[in-house]
Parts: sequence; structure tokens; C-alpha cells
Amino acid sequence: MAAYVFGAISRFHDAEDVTQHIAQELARRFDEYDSQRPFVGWALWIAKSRVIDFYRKQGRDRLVLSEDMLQKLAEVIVDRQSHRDDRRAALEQCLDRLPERSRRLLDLRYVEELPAERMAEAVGSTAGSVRVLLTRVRHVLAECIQKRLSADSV
Amino acid sequence: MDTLEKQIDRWLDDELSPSDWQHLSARLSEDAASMHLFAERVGLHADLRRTLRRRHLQRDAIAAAEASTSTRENIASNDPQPLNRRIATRRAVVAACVLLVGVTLIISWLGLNSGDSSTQQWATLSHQVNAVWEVKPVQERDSIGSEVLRLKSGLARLDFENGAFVTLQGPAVFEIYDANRTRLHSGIVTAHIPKSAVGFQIETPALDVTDLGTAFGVSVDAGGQTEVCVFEGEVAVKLPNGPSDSDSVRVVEGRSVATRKGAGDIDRTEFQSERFRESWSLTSGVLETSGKMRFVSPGPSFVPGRHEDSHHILVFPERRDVMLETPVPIDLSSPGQYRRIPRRQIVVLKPGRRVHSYLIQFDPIGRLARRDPGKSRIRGRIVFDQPIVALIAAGPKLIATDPLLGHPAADYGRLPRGIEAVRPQNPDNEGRDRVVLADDRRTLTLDLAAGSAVDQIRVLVLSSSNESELE
Repeated sequence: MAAYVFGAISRFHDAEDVTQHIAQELARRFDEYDSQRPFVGWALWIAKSRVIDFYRKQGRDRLVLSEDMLQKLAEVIVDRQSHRDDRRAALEQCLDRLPERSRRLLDLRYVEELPAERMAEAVGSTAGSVRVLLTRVRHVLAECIQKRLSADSV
Repeated sequence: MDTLEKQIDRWLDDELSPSDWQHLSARLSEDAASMHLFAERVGLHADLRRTLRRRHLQRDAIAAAEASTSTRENIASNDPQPLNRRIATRRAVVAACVLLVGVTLIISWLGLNSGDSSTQQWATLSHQVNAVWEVKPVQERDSIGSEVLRLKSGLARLDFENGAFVTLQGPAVFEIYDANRTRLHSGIVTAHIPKSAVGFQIETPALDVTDLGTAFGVSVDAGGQTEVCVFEGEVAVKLPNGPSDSDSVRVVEGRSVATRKGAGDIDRTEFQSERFRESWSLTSGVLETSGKMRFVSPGPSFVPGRHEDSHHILVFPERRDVMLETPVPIDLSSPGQYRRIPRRQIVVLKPGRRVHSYLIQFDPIGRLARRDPGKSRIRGRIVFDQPIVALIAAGPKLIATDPLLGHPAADYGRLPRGIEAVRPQNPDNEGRDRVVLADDRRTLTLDLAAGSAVDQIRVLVLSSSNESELE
């Protein structure tokens, strides 16, 4: 659920507020859920409506995913959700193997929520270099997680 | 790394230009592999946010705990044994639990307006005892939403909207995610979870606890050692990020388990609940005991008939939230001193109230003769969180109310029981018991003389704060 909303809405606080709205709506409408069908699919169907509501409130100047893209994203996330716990466990291990500088960069982005310019000031670099480095760190983490999942499945 | 990856990252960081967005949007719409990469990256993005924030809180919590000068009782693990995880029904239990969480969420959220979720409140800070907070002080009756509470010392009780009671014992760092999901980063908590809140979760860095209808305590020390003690009912525990929910283990009352972060196994440990006693007392509705009054430790061994103490007046919680459907014989319902009621005078508590019952007892080991001049006296005071509606102090009335209001696992024995009250017409009241209910209706003072009867008094306390029920 969080992945879906974080994919559709860029800013952390906006995404987290919408996620919480969705959780409330799921609870309110739980008696509508047909237990013969996948729960995640139903939950993402409701999530899509709330994301579109959010887009409407934001106005037309924001970049948004189309309804068709939201639907495709939901389908891919449903396919991937069975390995969710394994991926999180792998992420814990992969984070521990990162160099200190990379972990610092991730903390600045994900904990302190700084934009690239402010991250650059904090580490004494340029915004461009920080963006490249952040993408590289995410790439390394994604590869590390994939390797661990592949090793576990052998 | 290709352009697609960079563009996805710029999108996630809210830095993508409109022209790049058109390019990215087209690729995601037309190319399934691109959408898969996008989904992978947003999943990582969401997990990084969750994981790094949690790690940050843990670092803060451990630093705060290490800085504290408070001594923390070490968790004993004299005979650790790996638990048998082969529980045939665990998948069904977890599935049922998930369903119950859903149902509970519906119950807890029905009637709430759908306002801004960032201001949604999940609990109220109902009581605090000598509480010192870090950074932001929290006051009694403050509403608490999704936030991190940092208690340096003292006790603080949170009454959740769904009926769950959780007491923090400082130093503690406790995070509320929503009405049903919380996280203990460090410190001690005890919880009483009624049926309306079954499925309530307390995560810790080392394991996750899901309530299955129960009362329990969780402790996380500065070194990450984590212990779960189950006082009543049962809970399910599992390692965080374990392979699947089916690896959860059930822990029943009178049992405890322990592990530490990254240990990979959950071990059974000796049940030692003393460290939870203070916190449990507040969770159970007792704000304060003084003098020689002492609230018992939680757990199935600490019930009347199984636990004696020569040096303290003991307070046993007996039953919670009992609906009185018939008149109950009582001895005192108004502030003042308890005096013996003539046998022909019948005083009853009218039905229609919900109450918690407690047994207060002084039962020194060994029996003294009724008229032994060497009887020792013992004094104590107790303050409850809600008004006392009645006291039951005469032996026959105690026996009559045992089935409805007594502890289900207690053994009340056959010895004479009750309070040997002061007699109004008798000038010689030496050697008698004195019990006074204060005007605030919450404070009870006892001055008891050990005798041949087991000194016992049953206290009925309103289960809600609706004081109109006192009329």
C-alpha cells in the first residue's frame, strides 16, 4: 500500500497522509470486502480513488500519474507483494553494508527530508553530485536486495 | 544506471521537470519492463522511508536510555530453551488475527469523522505518576495521535479509543502509528487489551507482539534485549521481517519469551513479572499505593490464596468491567469510616453499573489468636483512578460475591474472612480494623490489626468516569 502511494505521490508527508486516509477507509468499509477475492487488490482499488482525490485537490499544476498508469502500477505491486517481507529483511542487511557516506546521504533524504540542494550543503558537495550519488546508492541497494532474494531462493 | 532510473528517482524526489515527466510517463505507459522497474523503485523508496526512520528512532531511544541514570532490572534468562515453533494452527490464528484487526478497526473508527488524518487522535493520556517528559510535556487528558512519546521517568497511561490500556514506564520511547499499531523503541510497557481491541500490536526492534485477547508486558533494554511476559490470555510473537506471518509463536499466560535484535530465534525465559509491577498497577486502575500497601505483581501466581505476604497489605485486581445485573450486598457506599452494620439492616448496591473489583488483603503467614495482645498493626493507603462505589467487608458478603466479583483463579479458603470493624457503641475498639473512604471517593485508608480472620475487603470501582452513576 505504502509503495503504491509513495509511487503516486512524491512528497513524504502528502503520501503518508493519504496512506492514513486509505487505512481509515479500509477499516470503515471492511464489511464490503469479499473474502473470496485478494485483499490487496481490493485495498489498492480503494487506494486509487484516494490518490485521484488527492490529485484533484492539488490542482493541475502538479505532475500526476494517469488512471491507466495507476492501474498498471497496482497490478505490478500485487504481483510483487508476496516477497514483501523478504525484501524488507534483505534491505536491513544491505543497508548495514553500505559505506558511511552513503548511509548519511540516505538519512538526509529519508529522515531529515532534505532536498538535493540542502543535502549538498550538508555534505559539502553539489546538488548534481548528490542526485547522482543518491541514484547510485538506490541502484546498489536494489541489486543487493535482488542478489539476496536470488540466493535465498536457490 | 540508465536515464529511466534517474528519471524515476527525480520523480520520487519531487524534482522531475515537466519535459522529463512526459518522457517518463510515455515509457511507463508503453513498456511493461519500465513499469516493473518503477514499481521496484517505489517499493524500495517506501521501505527506505520506513526503515531509516525506525532506525533513527531506535538510535535516539538507545542513546536516551544509556544516558539515563535509572537502573534497569536485567532480564533473567536462566534456562533459555528454543521454542517449538511447530504450531499446527498458527496460520489460522494469524489469519483470524488479521480479520479481527480489521473488525476492530471498523469498531474503533465508526463514528469518527473523516477529518484530516494527520490530526487523527488515537488515545488519551489518562493518568501520569511522577512523569517527566523529554522535549514536549504531555498533560493528563491530552489527546495523542500518530507520534513518538519520550518519557524520561515515571509512569503514563494511555487509554486508546478502542478500549486498550497501555502504561509506559520511563525511561521509554513509544510510538503510536494508529489505533491498533504501536512500537516500543525502548523501555517498559504493560497493556490490557479488551475484546474490542483484540489484534492490538506492539512492535519492537527485536520482535512484534500481536494481542490475542490478553494482558501482557513488554520490555526493551538499552542493549536491545527484549522480553514479553503474558499475564493473562495469550499473545502471538514473531521476529520482525521474518519470512512470513506463519512463523508467529503463541505465548500463553504465565509464560515469557525473550530475544534480541538479529538473534534469529525467540527463547523461552523464566517468568519474572516484578519489573512490570508498577506499570501494571496503573494499567489496572490504581494510581498510587503508600505505607505498607502493595499492588501484586502481574501473573497467574499472584492471586488470592496462592500468594501471601507478612509485611504488606496486598492489592489483587479481581475482575474487570463486570455489569451488575442484580443487587449486590455491600457494607459501605458513602465516604466515611466503615462501621459494622447490624445484621438485620441490609444495604445493597443497585444494579445497572459496570465495575472493576479488587481484593485488599492482609494475611500474615501463621495465625494469631483472636485476643492475642501482641497483634501487629499495619497501615496503608490506596488511590484508584475512578470513584469507589462500594466496599464489601463482612465475611458472608465476601463469600456471596466471590462468584460474581472474585478472581476466577483464586482460592479463598475456609478461614474466617473480612474486616473486624469498629463498633459504634463499643468504647474499646482497640484491636479492630479501621477503614476510611475519603471524600474524593478514590482514596481508601486502612489501619488493620492482624487477627484470626484473614483481613479482606473487596473494593468496587466504577469502570468508567461517569460519576452520575454514583447517584
